[in-house]
Amino acid sequence: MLTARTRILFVSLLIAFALQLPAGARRRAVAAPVPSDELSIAFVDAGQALLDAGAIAFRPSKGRRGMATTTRTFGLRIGQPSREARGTATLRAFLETADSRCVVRIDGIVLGTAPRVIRHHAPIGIAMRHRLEIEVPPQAPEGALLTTIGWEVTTD
Amino acid sequence: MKKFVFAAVVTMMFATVASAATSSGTLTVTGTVESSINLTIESAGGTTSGTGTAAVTSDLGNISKYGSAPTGFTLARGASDWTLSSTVGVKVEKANLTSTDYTLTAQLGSAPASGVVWKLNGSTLSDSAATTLTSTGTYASTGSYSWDVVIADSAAAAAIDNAIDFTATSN
Repeated sequence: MLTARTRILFVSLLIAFALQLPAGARRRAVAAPVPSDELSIAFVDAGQALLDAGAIAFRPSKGRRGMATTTRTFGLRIGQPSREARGTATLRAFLETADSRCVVRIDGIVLGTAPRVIRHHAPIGIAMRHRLEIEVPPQAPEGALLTTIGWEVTTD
Repeated sequence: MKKFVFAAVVTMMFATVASAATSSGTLTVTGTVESSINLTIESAGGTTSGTGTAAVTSDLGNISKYGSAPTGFTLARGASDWTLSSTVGVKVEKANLTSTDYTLTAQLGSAPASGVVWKLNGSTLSDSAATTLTSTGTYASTGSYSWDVVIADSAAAAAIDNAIDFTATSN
């Protein structure tokens, strides 16, 4: 004989397991997650996901603390384009391949090897402008610069 | 009752984890770091404006052999001429450059008025060729160069306006 308390526990556990079933096996009681392919990251005006910062040289009127700096803005869209946001996501960025000579900022946030939040509640489907800033100290040697920025999107 | 509460909490946790989705991407950034140097005039005799930049103006006002020296100058009277003396401070900074020193030259922007001689570091300047002030300038340090304007007594009473163009070249 099951006691009333045991029945309640049993039913509760059944509900817990039911929520883990594939979406097709039942009607979900929670908000449907956005599939990963609908979270694809597109760089709106950086063709081939490549951004050329051009020549980076110290300019007395622009330099910060004697640094050579350059800035570029670019658009980033999460998912397919849409007129209205189809949900929101948290956008993170990190240096996948770092060039030790420079400091890279996105929207003023210094990037490192660990992901850092660039934007909370970024709209899905709508391109947002971001600002890339590269800062090179005067001691750094001249030459070609290459860095790769990794991006991560997680639905809110 | 305690067990029921525990089961309900587990249910909510599972539901939250199931709703998150992730994606990733990569943006490659390229560029070229270029070396550069920057020259600034840090000080000069006369009433100056623009010090600390590369375009400085020095106003000596009205000058005469038997008058008083302009601000920041001394006046020395000779037998047939008179000399206004001061200094010019020039600083050259470098960025992303391995060079350890630089060469600094100066040249007049236009031919000097008749009977007027412009000198820097003891060397007479002309508008036709650059004069080397130093070939071993130290970066980020203000070099002080003597500046003399020698005016003959025979020179006409007129403006002596001119420009001194400095050029720094990394060695």
